[in-house]
Amino acid sequence: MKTIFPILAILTGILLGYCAYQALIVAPTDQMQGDIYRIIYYHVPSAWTAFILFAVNLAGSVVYLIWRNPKADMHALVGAEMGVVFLSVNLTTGPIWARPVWGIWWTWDWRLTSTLVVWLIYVSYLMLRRFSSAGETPVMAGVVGIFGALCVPFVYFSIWFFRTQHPQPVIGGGGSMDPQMLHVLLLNWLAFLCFGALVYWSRYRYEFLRREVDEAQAMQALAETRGAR
Amino acid sequence: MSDPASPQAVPIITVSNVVKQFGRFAALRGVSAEFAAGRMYAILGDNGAGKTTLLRSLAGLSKPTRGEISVLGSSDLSDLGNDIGYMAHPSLLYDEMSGMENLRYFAQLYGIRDEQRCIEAISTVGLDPTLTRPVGQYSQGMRQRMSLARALLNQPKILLLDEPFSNVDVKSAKEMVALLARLRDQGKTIFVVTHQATLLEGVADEFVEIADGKIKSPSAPKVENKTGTTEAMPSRAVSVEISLFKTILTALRKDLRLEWRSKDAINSMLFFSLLVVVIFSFAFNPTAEESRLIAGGLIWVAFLFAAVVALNQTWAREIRNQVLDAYRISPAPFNALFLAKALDNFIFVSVLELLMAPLFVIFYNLRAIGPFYQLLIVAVLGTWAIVVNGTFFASVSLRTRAREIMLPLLLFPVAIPALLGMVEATTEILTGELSPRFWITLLAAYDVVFTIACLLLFEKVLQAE
Repeated sequence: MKTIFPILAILTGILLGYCAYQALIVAPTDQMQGDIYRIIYYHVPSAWTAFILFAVNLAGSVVYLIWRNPKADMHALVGAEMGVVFLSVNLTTGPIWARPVWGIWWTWDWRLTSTLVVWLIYVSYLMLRRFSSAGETPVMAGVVGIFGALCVPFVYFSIWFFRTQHPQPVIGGGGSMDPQMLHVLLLNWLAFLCFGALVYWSRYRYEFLRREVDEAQAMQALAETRGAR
Repeated sequence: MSDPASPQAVPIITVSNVVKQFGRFAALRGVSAEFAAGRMYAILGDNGAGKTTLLRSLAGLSKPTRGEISVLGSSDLSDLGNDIGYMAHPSLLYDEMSGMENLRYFAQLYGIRDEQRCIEAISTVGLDPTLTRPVGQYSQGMRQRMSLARALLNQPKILLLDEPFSNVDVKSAKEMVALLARLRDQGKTIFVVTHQATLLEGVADEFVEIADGKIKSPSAPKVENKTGTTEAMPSRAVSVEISLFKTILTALRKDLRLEWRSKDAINSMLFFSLLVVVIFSFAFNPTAEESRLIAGGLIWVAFLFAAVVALNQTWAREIRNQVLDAYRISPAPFNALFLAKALDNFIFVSVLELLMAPLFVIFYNLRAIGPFYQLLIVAVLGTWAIVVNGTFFASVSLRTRAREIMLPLLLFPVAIPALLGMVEATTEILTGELSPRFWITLLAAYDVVFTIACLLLFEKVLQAE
């Protein structure tokens, strides 16, 4: 861990730098939007990465509720936390892109609203973890994680039935893209995934150690006697 | 006092190295003991020593963090209902109902249809079964006795009593002790957590002292393993088939009766939804044509906000005296309780909608262009979507520090797809422009998916401890 992590961090840093170069310099300029479109290389990969992390949250929640494996609960927690962070990147870059292109920061277009709803669902999941009683948190969070995941298809599929100001999805949604741009987009997604995996690993490790410390303190409390205290 | 070496010396309960942690606090720290059948154990100790946690663990209400508990030869404590009678520090009774009404309700949860059993249980503890006063108006001592009557109702083999004599006058306490002695002599195993050890002197077979989550008495209770004994472990009670449908009806009737008496939910929802409409008027003053476009949104948002008022009260009566624990140890199916609560809320919100709909028509000059039956379908599907999730999340938020705040925080994001369907379908019906069929299908699919999810996960929420 001590040696592998810095190496992977350096490699990820190099990949992110290379992808930034590809996105900001090499990729062709959009004829309609100009250079501002280049934000797509951060806007779209952050959303895709977020949904992968929410899938991790669902898997962790289900596994925990069936087998009560604390590691599964840790994966669910980290998946939700990081998913919210990546979706926040998506929701922040969206208005930055929208302002020069649409002339407004935000519109209650269903594509935008649905993304905000998904973000709210997982923020409420994290709030529940914060507000629930210690011993019951994993069960309650697991249950809410499953509800959140069940909601995602309803939120996302309903956009098919709206006329939306937002462009159609590039992959599997009827949208189209220049092959060179698509290549850079996918490369950036790879970089986001590597970066996400690295942060995930480190956050998971932190959570693991934090619980180990809690467990050790609880064991110490078990060993204590009234006289010793 | 019964002889420890009597033929009844069979370990009816075995506790092996049980640890119970609440976060970093360890309430039980490796408790091991064997408890014999047909004996009375007095559990003593200071506040916070772990007595109640031990009792809750024996009742199957609290799952040990480590270690194992075996009751009547089985470590599966999930279906102990018919064998255990549990009396907690709170009464586990509904304050708004009379003693007889309470016992009639709990009897049905155990599949007991014979009302005579309720009368006998109340008479056994020295109370009058014909008392019509609500339990909330009983004296503390009377409440304790009624709580004991509830614990005796299913004629259990094991009685777990947490501070049964607290706030009871000396004469009544002595009567209760005599009753417990008789029950022990009839073969019941009795655990009495108490601070009044003197009351049980000469009656209890063994005094078990707990301190700092450990058994401190000279030695932990142990059952001698007598070679050649032919005595068998007392068998578990034959489980009675409890009908899901009948339990739903029982719980539903009880809640509707209580709401009919208090009208708390309906009144507060009506007032709240009216307030929301008035507040909306500061934001919108639409023409008749505009009204048709925005009314769908206004109506459902007002109902959603108002519904939260009732949904937040879903479990209020159950948590007041920890009545949920009485339900948890009964053999009644958990989903029956959930469905009864969801149906309750559905009825309350539907009544609200019926009462408020004419006001919306007047305030916003509405005239439905689409067929009325479509509006009805949207209302039924939409209301169910809100109440099924609301009832579920109300049970989740019970386990949080700020339950009134947590319910809307959890419910609103998840309810948005349903709200979208309700608003779009209603707008299409009011404007008559498009067919609401897609939105009705979406609502129906949403209802099916989330009802199944609630039914699958409710038990996990209720049993999380």
